[in-house]
Amino acid sequence: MIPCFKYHQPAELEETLELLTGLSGSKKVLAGGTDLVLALRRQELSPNHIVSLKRLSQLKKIEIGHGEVHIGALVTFSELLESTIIKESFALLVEAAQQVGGPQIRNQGTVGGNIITASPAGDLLPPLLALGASVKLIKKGSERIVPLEQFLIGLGKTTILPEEILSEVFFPVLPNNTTSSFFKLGRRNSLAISRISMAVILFHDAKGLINDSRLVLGAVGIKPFRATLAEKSLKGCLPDSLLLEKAITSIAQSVSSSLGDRSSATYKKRAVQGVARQALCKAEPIFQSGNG
Amino acid sequence: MKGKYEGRTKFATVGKSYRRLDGIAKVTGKAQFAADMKLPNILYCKILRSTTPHAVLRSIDVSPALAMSEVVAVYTADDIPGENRIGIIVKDEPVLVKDHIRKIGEALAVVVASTEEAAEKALPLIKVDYEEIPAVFSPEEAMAIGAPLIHEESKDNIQSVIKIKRGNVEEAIARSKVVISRRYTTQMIEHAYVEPEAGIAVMEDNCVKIWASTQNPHYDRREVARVLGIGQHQVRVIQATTGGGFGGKLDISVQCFLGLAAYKTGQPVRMVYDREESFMASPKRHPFIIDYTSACDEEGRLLAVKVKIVGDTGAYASYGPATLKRAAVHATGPYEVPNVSIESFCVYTNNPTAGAMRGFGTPQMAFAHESQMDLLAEALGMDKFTIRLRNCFHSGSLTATGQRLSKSVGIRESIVIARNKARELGMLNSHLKNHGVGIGCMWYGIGNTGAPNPAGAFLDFNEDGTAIVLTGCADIGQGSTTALAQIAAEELGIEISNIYILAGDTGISPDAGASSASRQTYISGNAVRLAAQEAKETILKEASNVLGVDRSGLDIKDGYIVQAGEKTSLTLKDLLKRCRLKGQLTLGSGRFNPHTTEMDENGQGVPYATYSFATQVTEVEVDSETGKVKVLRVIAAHDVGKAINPQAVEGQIEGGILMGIGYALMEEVKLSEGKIVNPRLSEYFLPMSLDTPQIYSFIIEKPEKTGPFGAKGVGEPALVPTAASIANAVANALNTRFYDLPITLEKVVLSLPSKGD
Amino acid sequence: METFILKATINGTPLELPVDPSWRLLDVLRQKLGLTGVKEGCGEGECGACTVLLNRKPVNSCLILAPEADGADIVTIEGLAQQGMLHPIQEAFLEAGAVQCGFCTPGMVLAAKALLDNNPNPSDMDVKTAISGNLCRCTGYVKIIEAIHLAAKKISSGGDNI
Repeated sequence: MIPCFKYHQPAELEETLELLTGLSGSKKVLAGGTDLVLALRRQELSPNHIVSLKRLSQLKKIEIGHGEVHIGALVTFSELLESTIIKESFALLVEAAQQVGGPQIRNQGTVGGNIITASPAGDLLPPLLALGASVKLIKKGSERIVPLEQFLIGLGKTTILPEEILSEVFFPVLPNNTTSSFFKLGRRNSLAISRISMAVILFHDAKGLINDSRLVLGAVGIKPFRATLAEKSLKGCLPDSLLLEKAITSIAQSVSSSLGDRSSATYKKRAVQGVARQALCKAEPIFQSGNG
Repeated sequence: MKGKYEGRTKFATVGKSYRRLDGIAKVTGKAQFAADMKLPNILYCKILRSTTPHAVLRSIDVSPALAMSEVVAVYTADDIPGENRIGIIVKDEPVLVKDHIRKIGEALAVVVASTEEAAEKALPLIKVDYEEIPAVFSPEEAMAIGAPLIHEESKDNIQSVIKIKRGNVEEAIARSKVVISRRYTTQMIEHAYVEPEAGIAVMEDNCVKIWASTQNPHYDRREVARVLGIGQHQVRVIQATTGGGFGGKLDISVQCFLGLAAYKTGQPVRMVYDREESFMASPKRHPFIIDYTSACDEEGRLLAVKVKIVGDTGAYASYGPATLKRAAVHATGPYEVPNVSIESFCVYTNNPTAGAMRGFGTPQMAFAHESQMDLLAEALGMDKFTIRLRNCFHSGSLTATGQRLSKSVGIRESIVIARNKARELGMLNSHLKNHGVGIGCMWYGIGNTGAPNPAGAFLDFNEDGTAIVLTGCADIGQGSTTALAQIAAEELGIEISNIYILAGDTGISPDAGASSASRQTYISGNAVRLAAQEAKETILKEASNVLGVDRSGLDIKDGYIVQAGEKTSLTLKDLLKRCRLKGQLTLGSGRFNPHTTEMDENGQGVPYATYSFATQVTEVEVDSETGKVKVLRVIAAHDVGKAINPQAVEGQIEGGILMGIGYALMEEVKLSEGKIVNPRLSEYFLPMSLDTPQIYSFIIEKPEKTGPFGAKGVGEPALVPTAASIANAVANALNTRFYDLPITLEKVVLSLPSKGD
Repeated sequence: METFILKATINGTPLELPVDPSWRLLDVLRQKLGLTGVKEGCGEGECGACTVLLNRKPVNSCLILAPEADGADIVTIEGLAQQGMLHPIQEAFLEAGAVQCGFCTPGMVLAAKALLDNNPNPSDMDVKTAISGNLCRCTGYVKIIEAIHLAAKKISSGGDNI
């Protein structure tokens, strides 16, 4: 049984922002609903108002320009998978979106919703963090840009204000000579909650050395984070199996310090090595080759 | 697809893969499950359930709920007109708790309201006054002296004990070459049929009429009548289309609440569980603790098996005694063992009730006995197929209960076929890293254990050559209705399209017992066949008169009378008309009760009339870093006696294997002080399509002479050896064995040496 | 609660329905319209029994508030058979033995339809992925997967729809 609320379905963005500023009482913004409707049904939430973004078509676009890709908050996982822009250059996003829930959830759930839910296991968060994404938050009369890394502050927590909506997430286009991947470990092969996930971006130079990298781990802390030590260990090196082991070891160390003595820590700091191996090798198969 | 099963038999109808008779209704969405049914002015029932595992219930104040205008009534134990006691084997469970709460989720009160929302809103208004008392959640602690008593009238928490003794185990162990002793544990799991429990009820002509999702409408009727204190003729239970059962819909769910509410209010009532309530209220698979010792000689011949089984049946017995009894009977596996000592304890705790689930304790036992067979083989350096072939049952073998097996024993064939297929697929000599192959063998007694379990059927052979069969047999998706129609059509010599099966309505059809224990094809199949024979007999006697020949060579085929296999000019329709004109109704009734005997104090006897056998060989790939086990291929060879509908048999095998994958690797009802912490499908993981391996099914037909056209059963055997074979495959892949199910990601990783260590 | 007027095309028929906004699309279809082929198995998007096609895509109707379906084209299992003729997917499910208890069947058939409408010649992986949001506890999925391949063949051979 879903508790009573007043339902609003504004036709324009301005009207939406008006409502969010003007409405008194608790309110929730509704996008795809796959998380919100569940929370309502479980009576974990009982807002006075629900403001639906359904009619805001400007939030459903994927655009590229000025060296940036902009994904509207209402873009569904399926739409992400169908987008030529995404398919051509962002393997890590494709691989992450493919592994969200099942087809039904991918048709309903949105990019914005995945960010706002801020689950440590949120499938899109590691790739977006790896891409250096920022979110655009708008409210009546103003807007602000916040790097995703700062926007996510903990388990289900972000810095969004009740009168704000997240309108889009954007990130710079990747230079040539980058490869990327995403790997998710679940207990089953669909409708799985990530036990551990990892997004990888490797920036190569002309000689095949790794110039730079972004390695982001999911579900091994209160929010996904970059394995900066491991990123450093790759810098300026040629990928081979020795380097792979080195990176894996330092990833395990960062997971170890992130999880502390949580009950899952013993398992996760070992299993993350397998996750890292598969994610890194998917992004760069040469990692599997012998050194030299 | 077509032609896949052809040319296998000399039968006209039996052995062919007919489409399900209820298929069109199901693919079009027209099939009426209980939650889909409507009646005018219907009232809605909701149950207030206990939130504490063990307490003395002092009082319930329902007045605040009754004060709501939409609430029609609230019933508690005091409102039950008859006996407030139910239970399939032991009547130890109240419909509504009177004074002693024994588990979380127990029903305390029924709210009846004009809307579902109002019924739900009324629940928290009811005031329950109770005093918590010490609880016990581990069966071993529950068995200890001084443990809190779950059932105050008993002297301890041991609900029942079964012992099977044969030969001299200690002496045999002493002279054995290899002795392996291990403890195995298995987890509690949920049936997770996709349809949650539901039903509706109405008073009609002084009769309580209930439509419910159920595996046993006649049992439901008995319980409702007793609880209401009325005759069974005043209760009519009709099985609605039922969305799976797997044993979980054998116990009473909504039936008694609906019966009570309809009887008392006189109005139509409805009740539908949501998933969480289904998790909370339904019985589970028993978690087992199994201490298993096996002993063999230098050639791998089993000399002795000694087993102690402790099963946690939770707060109420449900099918627990039958589960632990069947576990004991099957504890040796499908092997000849001259010296046997088995003790099996069914123990009460304050955990959720465990009851029947597909296999009744045998999947747990298969995990143990098949692991033991591998361990013996490893100790002797013997091939794992060979050790099984050396010990497996054959026609004439003596079982642990001293039963001499009949001719229908296909275990050897199943091992050989599975092994040969594994060889052909190159599974046995794969050198791929972290790949493993495991074997699981099993046997399964068809029907209830050492107890009468009859089924009846009526048949009316209409004058136009069509027939109506009345049977109590509940089709819960397994396809019994179609199989019974095939059996009737075969016996009557008519097309299956000319048969109508009216099943699972206690107002019309005779009792067929439960759709459980893989028993319906064998037992109801025989009842239907006998009913058909009786109706046919009237016709053939008349044919014998008309033709002036002896009755013995006559039969019906394709609408004609045949004599010694040759078609005569006499048509079936003519004969049916003649019988009518003479006032001879072509009716038949059939009843069948498999031959069993009660087991004596040493567990000796004939617990089942016949057994099914199977071998499954499973190939897995294990990621030793993440612990992920991928089931790649499963070969399943099953002796079913005779496949009445081979496609349906395959469907059972495939479904059983997926359920076995869940059991081995991902499913577990997690408890904290008697509370289920993961009562949702988002937290209880079931195998999905992407977890499906390649499956190679082989149907072996060693006809059972007491079965209808040789048939035995397959519903449970399909699942029984799967988890065992997966566990053996994982052990084979990693050189590390797991003694506790499920084999989770975490267990795999933590069992292996860490690189840093 | 204020009533919302839901305008949607359901199984080809445009409808205007007053709904309580807290109702789920599932409740509207089952209770208001009597389309009980839409099943509720879990109420949280984990079983796919409530699958309907919304603008040709499969969605869980248990996770959609009714007003969110405003303006949509919705197809339930009841909208599949035309003039009493089964859809080739329904036919294939029967032929392949893909139906047991039948509770997951409507959702499975619709998930299959969404796949085959876009991809008439799917691989095994495509088929498994297309039904990976639909739980079946009876069949082990094997015959459902076979049925979807069979349906693809039936459709490509010109709707062999006997």
